[in-house]
Amino acid sequence: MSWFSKEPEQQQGPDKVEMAKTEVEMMTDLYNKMVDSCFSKCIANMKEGDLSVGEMSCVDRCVHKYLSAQEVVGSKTKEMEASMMPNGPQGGS
Amino acid sequence: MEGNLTEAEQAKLMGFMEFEQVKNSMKAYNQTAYKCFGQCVTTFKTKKLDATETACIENCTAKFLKLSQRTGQRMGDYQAARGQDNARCRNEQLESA
Repeated sequence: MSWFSKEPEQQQGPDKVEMAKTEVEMMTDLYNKMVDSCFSKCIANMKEGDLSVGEMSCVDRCVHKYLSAQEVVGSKTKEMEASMMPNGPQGGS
Repeated sequence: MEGNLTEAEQAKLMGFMEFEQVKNSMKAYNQTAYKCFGQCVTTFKTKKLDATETACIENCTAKFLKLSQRTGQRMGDYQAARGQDNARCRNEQLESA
């Protein structure tokens, strides 16, 4: 608890707990969207309450693809942002 | 990341995660109704759900739940594999630095 001494780890960026909370919220949102999307794409009929073998492998692939797509969006966005900023990336967000 | 947090901060975060889980299970309930209504109810000749619609909604609910669980498991697998990749990446960066 030193108010004026410089502690580099504590000084950079917002509250770590708030950051972690935002990440949890972000992952929850991602999960909900992925369930929504993979349900629409993989579930063919409601004839029974169990997932068929085909549906199961569809879900597995859907999750993998969705997360890969998420990463592609992330890296492409970063790339675009970097090229749009004439002075190079600022901060490290 | 959690390694950098103090015990009090970790407790705060755990509390938040529990709260978030409850919140999301309520959300999932509405989401299931929304999806299954869309899938199973297509005509409005009567105001009562007929036997076919009811069975469809029941199966749909079961499927949605199972799909959600499976999605969670696969997401965990993916991140575990990704985490190993990231760790390897970091090690390589450290070694090359």
